[in-house]
Amino acid sequence: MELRAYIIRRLLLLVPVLLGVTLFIFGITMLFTPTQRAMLYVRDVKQLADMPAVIERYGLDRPFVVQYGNWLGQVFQGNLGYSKVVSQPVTDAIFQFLPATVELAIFATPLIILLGVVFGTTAAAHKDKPLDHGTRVVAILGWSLPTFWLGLILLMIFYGFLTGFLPPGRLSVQMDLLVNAAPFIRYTHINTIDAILNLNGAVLLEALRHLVLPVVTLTVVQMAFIMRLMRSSMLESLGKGYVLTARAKGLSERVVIRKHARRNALIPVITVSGYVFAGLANGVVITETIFNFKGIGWWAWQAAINLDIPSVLGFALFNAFLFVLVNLVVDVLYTRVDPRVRLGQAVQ
Amino acid sequence: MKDWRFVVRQLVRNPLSLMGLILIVIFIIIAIFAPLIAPTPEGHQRPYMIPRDGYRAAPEPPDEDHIFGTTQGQYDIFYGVIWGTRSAFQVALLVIGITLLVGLVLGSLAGYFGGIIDEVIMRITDIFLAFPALILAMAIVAAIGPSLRSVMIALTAVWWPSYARLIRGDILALREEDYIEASRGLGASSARVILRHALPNAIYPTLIMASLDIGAVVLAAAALSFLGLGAPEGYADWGQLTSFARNWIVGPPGEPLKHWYAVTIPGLFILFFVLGWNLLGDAFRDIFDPRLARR
Amino acid sequence: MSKRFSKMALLVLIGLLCLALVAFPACTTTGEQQEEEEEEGGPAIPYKNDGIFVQMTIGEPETLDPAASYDNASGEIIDLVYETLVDYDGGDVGNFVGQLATDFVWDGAALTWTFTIREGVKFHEGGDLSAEDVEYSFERAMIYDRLGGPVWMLFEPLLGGYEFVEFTYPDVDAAVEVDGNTVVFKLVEAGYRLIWLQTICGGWGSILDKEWCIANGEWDGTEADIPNHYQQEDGTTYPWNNMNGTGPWKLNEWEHGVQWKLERFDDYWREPAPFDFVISQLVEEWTTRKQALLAGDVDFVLVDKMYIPEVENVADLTKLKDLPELSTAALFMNQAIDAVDNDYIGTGLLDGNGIPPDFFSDEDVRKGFCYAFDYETAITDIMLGEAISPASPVVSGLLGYNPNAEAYTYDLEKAEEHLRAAWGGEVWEKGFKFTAIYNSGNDQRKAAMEILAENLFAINPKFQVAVAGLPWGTGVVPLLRSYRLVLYACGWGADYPHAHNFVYPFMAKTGTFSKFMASGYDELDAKINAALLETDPQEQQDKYYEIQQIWHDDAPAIMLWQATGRRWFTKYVHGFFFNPMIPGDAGPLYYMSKSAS
Repeated sequence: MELRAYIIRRLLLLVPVLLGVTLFIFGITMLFTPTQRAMLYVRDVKQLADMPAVIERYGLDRPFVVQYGNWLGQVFQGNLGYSKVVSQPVTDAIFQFLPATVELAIFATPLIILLGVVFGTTAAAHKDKPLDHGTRVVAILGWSLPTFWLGLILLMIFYGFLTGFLPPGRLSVQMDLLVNAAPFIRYTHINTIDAILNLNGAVLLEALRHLVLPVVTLTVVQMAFIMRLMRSSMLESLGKGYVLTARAKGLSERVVIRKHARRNALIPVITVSGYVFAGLANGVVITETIFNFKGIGWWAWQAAINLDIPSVLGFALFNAFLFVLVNLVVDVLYTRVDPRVRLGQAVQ
Repeated sequence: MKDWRFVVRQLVRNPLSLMGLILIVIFIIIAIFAPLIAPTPEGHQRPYMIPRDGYRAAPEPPDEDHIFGTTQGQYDIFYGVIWGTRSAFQVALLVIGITLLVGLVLGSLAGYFGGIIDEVIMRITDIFLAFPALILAMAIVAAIGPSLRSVMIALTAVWWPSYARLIRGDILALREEDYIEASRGLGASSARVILRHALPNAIYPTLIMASLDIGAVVLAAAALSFLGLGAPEGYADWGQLTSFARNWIVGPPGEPLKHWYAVTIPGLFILFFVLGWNLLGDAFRDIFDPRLARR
Repeated sequence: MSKRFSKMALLVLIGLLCLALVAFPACTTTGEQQEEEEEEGGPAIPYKNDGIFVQMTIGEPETLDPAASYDNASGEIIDLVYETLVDYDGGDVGNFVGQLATDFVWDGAALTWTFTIREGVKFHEGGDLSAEDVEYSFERAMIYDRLGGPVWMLFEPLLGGYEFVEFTYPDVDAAVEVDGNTVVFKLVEAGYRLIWLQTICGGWGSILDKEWCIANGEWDGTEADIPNHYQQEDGTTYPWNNMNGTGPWKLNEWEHGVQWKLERFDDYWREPAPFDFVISQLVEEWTTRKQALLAGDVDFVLVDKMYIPEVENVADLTKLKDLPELSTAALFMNQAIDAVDNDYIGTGLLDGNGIPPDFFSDEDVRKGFCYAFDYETAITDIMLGEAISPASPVVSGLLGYNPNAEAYTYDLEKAEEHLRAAWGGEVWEKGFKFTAIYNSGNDQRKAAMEILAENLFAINPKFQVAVAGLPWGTGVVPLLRSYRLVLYACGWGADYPHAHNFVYPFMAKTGTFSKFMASGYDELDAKINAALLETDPQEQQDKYYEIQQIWHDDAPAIMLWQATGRRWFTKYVHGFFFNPMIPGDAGPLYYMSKSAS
């Protein structure tokens, strides 16, 4: 099937997916009683008396279809509602919090994939030798470490012991005042990129300094996963027929690994890599909290535990959109990497 | 199916897989004999709730009454990790078990048949995957009511799509392999082809992921417990114990590792549990690979 | 051979690693613990960010609009940017000094307070303060009457009701009038004289610039425009996100969920502010806050009680303790439980496996419970000594507080006596079983309930109380409102420092707590009202003393504790004084300073 047609068809399918996701979430929230849903607006014991008025005002006791319809109507007008947990419209909240998470993802994802692939390949190539065992132990340690433990220990060492060397937050107080005042222009709100665009080395350095710990924390925990997958996948490939053939032909082990085994071993890794980027939104919650690097993960979590339904729906829409896109890219990459795979072909 | 004697022999021969096996067996023993190892005190009605020795917040170091010390709120760590072994098995095995089943079935159907079936199943997984996992899990737990059971349901709902997609991907790649073609040429039914040929070869990355995921499930359950949406506070659950230690990881200035036991001990239990399953998983991979010659 | 060897090596390696993980910290800790007996030390905290006050807290403002703000975090920033007509005199909650008013006079016959407005005060955006601004600020707050907002506090003394819908605009207009450069407030009863001053010290008494508001789309001051602004949606008023006050600082930026920043206002009517910038960062993670404090990156952090031992011995911190906060918590006993669909009352009968819906309506049951609670342990173990035991909701520091009020003590014999008498002896014979609920995450309330449960069990093994936690929003509140809770805990903080503010919610028929316990009654309501409206100070005190005695005699709830507060600053911060009504924990920043010496 033609690539372009496939892509268009997949993009069209975005609509039912988005509808499906939001309907599903709405459905779950309907499991809550109006009083429970009203708690978002009535936070304090002192406001309890206003509960019935709140329910009335926000239509929390209207039927499911009506509420969903209203919400959908608003969405088509570009209004995603108001995020109570951060006291601003949902669209504003997404734009405010996205840059921080994107910044983390930009640095963490390549590191995770790179280290995972490299270590995994090395481990597979030296199977059952000390190097293999060593990397496997490191991987397991990284994987089973609770994120918050690693984060806090790193903070203790690099911020505590080494007095302020690698601090939490996105920028120091002074730098923060600087970037928010003229003449500095915030193009993307991603500090590293903005620093480059403004040709300001001091800000770039400061931003990088604050990125080290959260990125390392994220990388250590996630990298192990990719490494393990890569290793077992490589071992698969190395045992395959075409590899033996390549070896028989006299090609060096290096070439065998790089040109033949690795390509096929990458398939499951590509699948998972898609998740790594998009899934960071969930994984960063604790990292964002510990290092005071508030991004969209933190916001979504606050929304979820406070039953801030407009925010949850807004985030779900955004997340769903991202996922469908990423999966599309992944599926297309399959065809590039594995010539045997043809898109959407049915079995005869 | 494989000759079980062969399997066991292979496991025992390899020191690493033997270690994995031993670790798992130790945990199984702990789980089974928990009431004997850490007896529930008199009058304490619910054995899965850790007994408290007082109400002070700060963890206390190990002493003769509490050989592993106490964690925040004076919950006995020893009791917690022993009974926590039971909780860990319950949650991990149930979640991974059901997840594997659902994921395998749907994934193989999608990968093998392609076409409409593939599209529909993939769109369904898309919808589930497009959910922010944490939010979906929280919403489910909050709707059903917090307990270990709702944690399991929520985690299963969040977990299965990854397996489905992984299996599908592998089967996609395998579909054109010679032995699959040959099998079909010989007139084998689709089910037979899937079960006997496609699946066994596509399953390895999934099994590896499953063995890693056993640890991830335990940690995810911990995250939910920590937010008050999982097991009730004071429930014997490794994840909860580790979470209890969250604010004591770094102690007062001058004694930064003062409360090391509060996080290290439950953490070690999790670590060895994960290690055991990983080693076992790798060993199974080596054994079940049809390309390895039997010796 | 080499393969087996390397595998063995790996096993040994793993084993050693684990041993190291366990042994190393254990060794170092025992070594360091010997240093515990030595004097205070801790790291030297460096001096950073000169001219900038930085704090880390766990609360994020909900709104910047003074007419809408009812939470502490919003109140904190409003307190620094806006000003009120009068303010408390230092730490004293009973005496007042003029802020935006130079003079304030009470007329006992006309029941009016007349405030003379200060001249020469400028708003941040350039306007001048006038009496019209004052009138507008109050009237706007009342016609906006935000849902769930604080404005009921203005309605009660001025008009005798709680909501705008009970009145008309002419009523509101008449209550606040401009006369030359004075503003006259007409109260509905003389008893509110002092309460009115206390009320307008709060954020809801802030003065906004009328021209600025109108220019930015706010209420234009006419009756016709009211429907456009009555109970406007949250987030839609201009002052919700923008500030224009007369205070020493003005808004620099509000980065939602992350931090807010203020910068000095150079045209302030008094001495300029001591800090160029005030920054408040939202950091929920305790360890991060602690590290930042020790690194000198912040000047003030919130320290939860249980973490006090961790920062106690750091010499470079200024520690303040035993600050009498005006808040309290109690265990409430529901006297009219709704038995339908109720998982917490067991069988619903007095048969040993449940409780009947009116279980707590018998006084002896309640008194028995009151005597069965170990108040001492609660204070020393749960609150780590950082609290006092109140005898009634009227807590220490409130006007009307009786320091010698009769209180319940931990007395198992008396408890047994009452429980034997309860329900004609049936309770003792049959026993009871129910589930008490705390809001999950609140370990202190959980511990308090467990103490009670254990003690009851010790008196008679047939008394079985299970303790379970539910999330506050989705669990506790809906059950509370539908009368399904049996025994639960709640707290209350002062809106204004007067006994009435505590008596009403705990004891009146329609009080926030007493309503859901069904513990109020008409006679008591009459006494509460009489005490409020009493104009003679001595008489009023007597009446409130009587009410505190009634609390003891009725025993509708078990008073848990009144927490005392602590503050933690680096040693470089000076000038703090305590006033329980200041919304921000960091205190009266305008009167404070920071220097390296």
